[in-house]
Amino acid sequence: MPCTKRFFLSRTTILSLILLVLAAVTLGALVPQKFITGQVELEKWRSLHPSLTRISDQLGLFHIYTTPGFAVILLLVCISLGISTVEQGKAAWRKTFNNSPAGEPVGAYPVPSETAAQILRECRYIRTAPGTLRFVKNPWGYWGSFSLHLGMLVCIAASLLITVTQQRGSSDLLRGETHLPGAPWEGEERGLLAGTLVLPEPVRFEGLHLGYERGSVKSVASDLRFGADGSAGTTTQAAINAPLKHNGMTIYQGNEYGHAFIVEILSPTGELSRAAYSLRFPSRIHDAGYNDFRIPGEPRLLQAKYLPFASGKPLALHEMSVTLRLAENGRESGRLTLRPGDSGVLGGHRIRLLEVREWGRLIFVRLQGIEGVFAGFLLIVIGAALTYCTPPREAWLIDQGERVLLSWRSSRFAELYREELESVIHRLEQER
Amino acid sequence: MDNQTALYVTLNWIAVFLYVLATITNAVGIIFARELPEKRSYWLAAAALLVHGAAILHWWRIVGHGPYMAPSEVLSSDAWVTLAAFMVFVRIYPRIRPASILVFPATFLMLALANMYNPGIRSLPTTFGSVWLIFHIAFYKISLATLVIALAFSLFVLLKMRPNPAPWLARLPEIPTVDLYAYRFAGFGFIFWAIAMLAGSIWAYRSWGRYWGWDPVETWSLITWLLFGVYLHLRHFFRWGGKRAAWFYLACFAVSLVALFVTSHMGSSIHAEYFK
Repeated sequence: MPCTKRFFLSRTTILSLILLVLAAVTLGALVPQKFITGQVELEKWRSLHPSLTRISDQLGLFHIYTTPGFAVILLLVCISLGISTVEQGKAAWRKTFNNSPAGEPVGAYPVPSETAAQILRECRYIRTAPGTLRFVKNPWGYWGSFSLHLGMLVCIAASLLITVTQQRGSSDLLRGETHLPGAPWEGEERGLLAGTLVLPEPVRFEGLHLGYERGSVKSVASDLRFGADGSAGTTTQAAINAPLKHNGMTIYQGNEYGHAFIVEILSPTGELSRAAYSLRFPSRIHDAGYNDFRIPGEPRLLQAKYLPFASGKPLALHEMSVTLRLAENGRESGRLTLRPGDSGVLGGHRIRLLEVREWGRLIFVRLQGIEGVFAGFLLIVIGAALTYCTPPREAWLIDQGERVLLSWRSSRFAELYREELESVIHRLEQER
Repeated sequence: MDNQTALYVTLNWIAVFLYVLATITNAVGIIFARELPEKRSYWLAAAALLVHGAAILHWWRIVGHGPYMAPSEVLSSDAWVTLAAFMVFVRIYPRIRPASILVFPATFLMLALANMYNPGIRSLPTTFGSVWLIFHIAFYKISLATLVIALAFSLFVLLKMRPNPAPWLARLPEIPTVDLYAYRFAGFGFIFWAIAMLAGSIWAYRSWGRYWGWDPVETWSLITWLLFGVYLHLRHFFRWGGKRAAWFYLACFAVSLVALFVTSHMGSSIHAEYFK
């Protein structure tokens, strides 16, 4: 066996690689990662751990999964897994279909070999090939390690493909709004070799459907119309737990949705502006939805609150009101409640509520390779189950004329199958 | 506290009482080699499971979702599944009966801890309406059960290998057999943990298009799985056994508890949004 192959198949190498992956993932868990940690939280961690911050910056620990070091570890793991998978496949084939040296001799029994063979068959041992006296129980168990390792390899390969090619974009749309091809996304992620996700056609958010049960939202679905021509386009729906597949993309209904209050603001200096204050639907229908905003030129925080339900019934859009309050250092300096069409003054700003519309977040994803990931998952589970739940047990019968010699071996956990062997022996002894 | 909640709490405390009785009877049976108390303890445990199960079902009817939202629900269902799975495994592998000396008290401790929490009604987030979530949660609970059994046998190994082991330990199977059961059930735990993790990935992909986001819960779950992978490799390829393997297993088990019970409360995790 060439040196390289021997190196990658050695137990020490395999264990070292697993430990390296484990170390990298653990560091990724202990050091906040830039791609999932907010800037404020990251800065807080940095200020609390200045010495760790220096080391983390040098070693790239804030983005450990995109460091060259992690890429090298992953490459070595893939090489080792690949070679190991091939070797294990060959070994599994040999063990399943070819003869192998007999296991530990158990005893000699004065019964014809065919009788002994019948007893083994009744104990669910399968003859591996005609003309041989080798029997195996659960021969599929030989393929456990192969399946487990192949599954991991397929998963890693598919994940790498996704990492470099994935395209994701999220957009918060008000009812009636359209996301045009090429328009910027509210949130975007793309693979290392992928460009920005561009929709093949416009998507218009036509409305939100909420289903309720036991005081909370049970289902959320968005009506979407595709196509440049509003009247001729196709209308369909994306819902939570029921994503929509359309034109090579998958469209998810985000968990963020609610009502947007469209206001017109006249500042004390006479500037007129419009804003849409989008508030999230509360988790329980009788609770309020909240959000914070900023009025341009106003140093105080604008806090908004609304109630989508009243007297146990959902409010119509024209009945919904929003309560706005200005706050400074946690203290309220003004409050205003508006219904559609109402206006009032808050902190010197004249605010008029024009209308209320539903809003929802839609997530557009283009992924290649996800089927590989799930195929890998299935192989991993099958492999682990075969390895630990169905270890093969082998029995050999050596014909010695008027008696037969029994040998037996278990690939794993031999002691746990001692009773099974004793049961076979007992039956052979009864046949005397 | 309204009547429905009072009934739930009462049933839980009755179950705790029965579990405690089962634990004491079981310990007496095992430690003093008395077959009758040991057998009776299983009847008590079965009765406790029934009462406990009734409490879970009653609360399920009240809140309208399974026992996986509030901390009290999670701990309570973990306790129930741990003991129920043990009862099933005992039928398949009768020689694991001695593990009851750890499984029974672990069950009542989890339920007692659950009862310390306010059994608040949490609404089910919309994304939780998926069968993959059920698989995800169920297999983590089953995995916990097998890991507790493996923990029991790892502790038996350590106790039996002490210079002057307690006399009752001599009635357990020999060290190699006890060690083997620890290995076997760690293997089961590895499988179920893998299924749980992967079911969670499928659920996440169906819910928001991302099968893996390096969320703290996901990451620590992967760390746990890799650690168990190291344990199994050391066992199989380096023939680790006895004390070394037992101590290593204890460390793996501690990490699994962090993954199961601590990380879901980390603010930065998407799971924390649901368990506030």
